[in-house]
This record gives sequence, structure tokens and C-alpha cells, in this order.
Amino acid sequence: MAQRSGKGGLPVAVIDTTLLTRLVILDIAQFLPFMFKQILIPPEVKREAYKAPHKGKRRLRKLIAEMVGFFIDCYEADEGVKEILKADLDEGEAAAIAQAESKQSILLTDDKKAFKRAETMQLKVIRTLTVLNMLKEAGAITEVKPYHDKLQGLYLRETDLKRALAEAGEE
Amino acid sequence: MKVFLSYAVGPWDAPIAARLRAVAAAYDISILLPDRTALTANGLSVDTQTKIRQSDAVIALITSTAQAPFVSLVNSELQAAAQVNKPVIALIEQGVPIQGLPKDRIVYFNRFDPTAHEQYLINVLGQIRSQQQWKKDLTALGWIAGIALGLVALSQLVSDEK
Repeated sequence: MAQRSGKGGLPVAVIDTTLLTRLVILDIAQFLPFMFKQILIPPEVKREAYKAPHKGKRRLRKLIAEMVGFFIDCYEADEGVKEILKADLDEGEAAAIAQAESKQSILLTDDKKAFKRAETMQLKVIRTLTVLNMLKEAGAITEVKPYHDKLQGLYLRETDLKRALAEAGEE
Repeated sequence: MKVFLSYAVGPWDAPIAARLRAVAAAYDISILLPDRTALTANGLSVDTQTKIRQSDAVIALITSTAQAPFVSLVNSELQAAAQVNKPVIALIEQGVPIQGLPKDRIVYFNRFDPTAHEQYLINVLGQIRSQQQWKKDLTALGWIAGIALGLVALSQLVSDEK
């Protein structure tokens, strides 16, 4: 069961580097409070996101600074779990899964291998396309299609894009 | 493959369940853990009962540092597993008094002697093979049990270092 806030409200989620970067590039990371109480960012994820060669680095730093209290640094992950996962996942993904396991939070990731691993570990995992649909449902955005267009070429499968579009009622 | 892990361990061994889950997931094996927060009249939560039914097998782990109420919960979970005819391997640390478990399902282990459990484990796996209609890979089940014991030994090593 994913961790929820004490008031029966929105859940807490842990984010990994790929998804965090994509949401910043799509300019929708600021809408995450529509869906989550807090987003936990492991230090490894933050380090990778700040170092990675993407356009939104400055925007990401600004957003995290502005939304302090929503984007939270987290250090509770079990080091043993992290080390086990690092055997075949990269540092950020391993840290994000270990953190989600530790807090029984939702995991936000777009990495295929990390997604499958977390699902096998019985964690609730959400991808960018689902985040977009949830944001539309919450009224934060009106359409998902323009964001899908921006995501073209980012290793997302055509079938996944079509399914997400159908689920959003934009087919 | 899904394996339900019923466990009663001391605070120092507490991360073992999550670590086992992480190792097993790399081999596409899901470790299901009990939910002990909303117990019903039979001492088990609805979620736990569902997970036991969904699992292909049940592994129990009881260490010498476990508190009595948690050992009692493991007993309840194993009874539920027996009722739905799940193959069970009970990993019990030597010296822990345990009642109500069939002897041919118990693997006694010693965290200071990594070979102490080997024959017990071979016997239990043989029993499961001969008595139950096991359709999954028995090697994987034995492997999960072995990894669990390895993690207990590792936990002790780390504790000694500190």
C-alpha cells in the first residue's frame, strides 16, 4: 500500500532522474502538487539530474529551490537494498527504488528496467504518460497530446503513447 | 513466481525482508510481505490472507532475536498457508523454541555456521517435491531460502564489524 498523507489526502512519491528531467523539460513539474503531497528526491537522483546534459537544468534548480517543502531530500533508504539494486541499475534508479521500498511510497520512473524491478518488488510505479493523464484528470492541463508530441524521440513506445492517449480520451 | 515471506526477526535483522525482496526481484521472483497493521479475528489481515493465497510457496524466517508476538504471527501465517496447501519452508534459528510446525518443513540454521542448514534444506525440498504437486522451479525456492540465510549471516557480520 502506497504511503498517503495523514489526512487521507494525496500520496507521497519518490522520483527518479529520467522522469524528473522529463517533467521539467515538459514544463509540468510545478503541477505535481495536484497529485502528490510531497515528492522525495534521493541525493543520487538530484546529483544525476543536476549533472545530466539536458536543457532544463537551470529550470530544475530553480523549481526545487522555489518548491522547498514539496520537493524533499530523502535519506531513509536501506544501504543494503541500494547496494543490491546497484548491481544492475544505475545509482539514481537504485536509490529511488530503495527509498520507495523504505517508505512504501509510489515510485515515479520512466526507466524500463527500474519500472519492472520495482513492480516485481510490489511497489506502485507510475510513468510520465500516466502522470500526464493524472494531471489532465486533476485539471492541471487540458490536453495530453501536445506533451506527447514533445516526448517523441524520447524512447517511448508508440503503443504506449497510443494507449495513454486513448485513456485520456483524446484518440 | 511469488513467495510469501512470513518473518519474525529482531531489530538488527529487520532490513533482511526488504533486501531479500530486492535480490529476488532481479530474478523475476516477487517476495510478498505480510501486512500486520489491520489484523482480523484470526490474527491475520485480509491483505496477508490474500497474499498467502496468491503465493506459490511460503518461506518463514524466525531468528533468535525475534519477539514472542511476532513469532506468534508467523505461526498464524503458517497455519493459513497450510490451510490452502502451500509448500512451506520454515527457517528457524537454532535454539528458538517452535511448536506446531511439521518437522519435515523446518530448516534449522546457525548464523555463525553457514553450512549447518544445508542438509535440513535438502531434506525439506525433497519433502516438498515428493508430497506436493509442485509445478514451479524448486531450485528457485531453495535458492531464495539460501539467500535469506545468507542475508542473516551478512547482517551478523556487519553487526560484528560495528
